Amino acid sequence: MTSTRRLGKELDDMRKSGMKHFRNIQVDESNILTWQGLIVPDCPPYDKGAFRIEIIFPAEYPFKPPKITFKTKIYHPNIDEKGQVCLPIISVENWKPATKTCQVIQCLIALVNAPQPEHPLRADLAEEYTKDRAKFMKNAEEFTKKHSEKRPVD
Amino acid sequence: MASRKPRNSLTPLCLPHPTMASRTPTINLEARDTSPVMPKTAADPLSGQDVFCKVCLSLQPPAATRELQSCKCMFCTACLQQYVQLAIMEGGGAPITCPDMACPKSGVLLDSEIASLAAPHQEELYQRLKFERGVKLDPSRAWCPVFECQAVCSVQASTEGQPAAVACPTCHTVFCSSCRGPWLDSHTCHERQPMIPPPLSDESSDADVSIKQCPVCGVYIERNQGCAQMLCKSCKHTFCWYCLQNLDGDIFLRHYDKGPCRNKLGHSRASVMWNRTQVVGILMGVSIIVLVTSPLLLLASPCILCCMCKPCSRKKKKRKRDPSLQDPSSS
Repeated sequence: MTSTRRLGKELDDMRKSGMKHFRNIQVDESNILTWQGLIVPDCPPYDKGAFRIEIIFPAEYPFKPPKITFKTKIYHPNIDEKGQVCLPIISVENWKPATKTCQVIQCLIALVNAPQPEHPLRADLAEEYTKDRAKFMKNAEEFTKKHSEKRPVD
Repeated sequence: MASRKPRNSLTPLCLPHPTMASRTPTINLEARDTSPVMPKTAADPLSGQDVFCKVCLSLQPPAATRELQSCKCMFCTACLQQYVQLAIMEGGGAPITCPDMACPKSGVLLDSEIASLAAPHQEELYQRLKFERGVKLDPSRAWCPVFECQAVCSVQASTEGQPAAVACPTCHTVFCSSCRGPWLDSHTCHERQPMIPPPLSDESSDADVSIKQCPVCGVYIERNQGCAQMLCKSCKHTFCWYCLQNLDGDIFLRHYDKGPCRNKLGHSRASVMWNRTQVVGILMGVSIIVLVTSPLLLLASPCILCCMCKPCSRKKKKRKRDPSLQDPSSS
């Protein structure tokens, strides 16, 4: 099966290279189509914690895109309360089979570090982000401290 | 089955498509760096070196790979076959592009390539879907609604979105361009009205309906997130989600400043203002350039006119021809 073979390779590559901002990749041996890992942003206000994400690959991967959801609550204009995130690189219209998971994750980390209030999933947070940045930072930092996971040490 | 497509900076929540630097170094598996960037090799098939397929991420012998004609990207044939098969089944006849996001030429597969990669019946399906898509997206063509006929009829241009009478050249049926029902005298077309929402309770208003029809092409559109400025993916018409009003010319989105849709856009005031500033800035920039260059253009216009002037250029040609005609007689 193409998906299993390719995902095995991607996983090996990612574990070997060790991405700085995506750690603790967990994959169930029996099901390589579901990954979990920790997003470790380095921009405030998210640099106080780590965020667990789940990546679900379809059986037709890489011909169909993976889906990403946040398992950790995050105060972010582009990520909603259910953990859904709009990432154009993995939308059905834009998806290209040659795109690798590490590229998708890099896009995701870039989005977490630099919110895009022009394309919000949470309009209230986007408004706060554009109008009162100080308040947003304070709220987001508090939220991060309260809900996020511990950042992996080393 | 249509959905929204990202438009300009005011488009709902779809971020600009990320650009990836394209890399085309030749590398073999041992030398491949393990950094989280894409490894890619563009080994020459003739040199006999294995080719790295960016879809299955493995080295393949040249015999098992194919080069796309429009962009020269290389993938293994098996991957391309699977890719094309899925693109035919789910792409609705849209062009099939190079599977690589970083493709420097954003290549498109040629019909001949699709034919050689897909099974004959699939290729047939693709050609049919492609043709149907072409007719569907073309406001000047429509399908004859008569089941036995199904001819492609040409639609006379009418006011945008207004239904018109269409006569089928094959079976001579006259039908309405929008509801495709028979065109009778004083035909009032109901199809163009937004889809009738299911009976609603008092709390859920029309705004909660998540599927509507494009006011121009009638395609069903689901709005699952984002702002109220909708761009129909099928006919590229822009409209307001709530009142279905045409927003094609409304570059400033002033529709959301007053009236029933006031403040219903879904973008913050600040981002709307910023978008307007950008539009005004672009317009001013263009006009300044035109103003600055207008004296130059005026000065240069006589020269340009001279060059374009046909009688002058004809005279020149004649002059050139004349000596050659005289030559034989003089000798």
